[in-house]
Amino acid sequence: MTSHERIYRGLVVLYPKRFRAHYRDDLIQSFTDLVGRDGRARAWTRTTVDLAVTVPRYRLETIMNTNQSTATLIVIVIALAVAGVMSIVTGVGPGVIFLLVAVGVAVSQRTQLARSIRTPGPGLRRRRLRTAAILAVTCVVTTTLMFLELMNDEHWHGGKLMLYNAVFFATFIGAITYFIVGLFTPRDESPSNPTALPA
Amino acid sequence: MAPDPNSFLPLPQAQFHVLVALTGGELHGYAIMQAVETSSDGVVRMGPATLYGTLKRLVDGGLAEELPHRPDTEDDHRRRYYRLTGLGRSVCGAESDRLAKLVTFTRRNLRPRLT
Repeated sequence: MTSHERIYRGLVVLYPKRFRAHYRDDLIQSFTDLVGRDGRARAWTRTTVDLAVTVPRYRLETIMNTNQSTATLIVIVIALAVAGVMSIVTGVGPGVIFLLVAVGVAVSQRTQLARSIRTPGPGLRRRRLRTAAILAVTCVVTTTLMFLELMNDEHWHGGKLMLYNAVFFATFIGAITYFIVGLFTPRDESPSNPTALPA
Repeated sequence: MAPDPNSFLPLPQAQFHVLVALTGGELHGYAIMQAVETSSDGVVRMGPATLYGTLKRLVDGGLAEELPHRPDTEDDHRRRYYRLTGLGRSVCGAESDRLAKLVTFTRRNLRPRLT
């Protein structure tokens, strides 16, 4: 096996597990054939474009797959939301895109996400949305205080800044999480309702 | 009951090209890539993952199938061969008819005096 084949074999790991388990050898064989016919440079050009297009696509398709476990789905949505918020706050990376993908995944998989939400009593949806609102208000107040302090005191010490940042991140992420979860909680949570989702 | 071929239309470009390539007979992955390139005059050049992703969709949709055996014993025994199913053949024909009508329509609009 040549070094190019070894590199491509390593890159195949980027594909979803099920896809690469079934097609790994075929992918490498086709790549080898391409190198043999077109040469390394042309084969790599074509394969790099192929990787750039298909890896995110197949990954996203796997996420959208209904067989995806709910726990994994929740982790993915939260991770994307956190990455988006962090990216927007720090100004590094495509934060808005992360958030849009998180919302897209949540919306497309709303039924599965809704099933994962326990509905032990009435008014749960309202309580969750209220919690989201409280956290959002706390977040806004914290940010306002932070800016006011920044304007009045230029000599901030690290501990204070870290505390403000911690409160900001916790309330922001909490507000988004509660809002998404609340949004997908069924409106009628009465246990006697036969259409209510099982706890 | 067999699915209606028209329910698969319009086919994504990559799927149609692979189906067209398979109308020529049983082919392995790389041979399909070459056939697609030839049939499209080099315009459509698939990468390995695009090809196998497309093949997976076609197999899942029942339009193509993997051969249980290797037709050419002198070829590399690791290669998997694919062929059209009856449904795949019907869908490919239906898509060709749809595109032919589209071409006729376009030509008529672009060159009204000639028709």
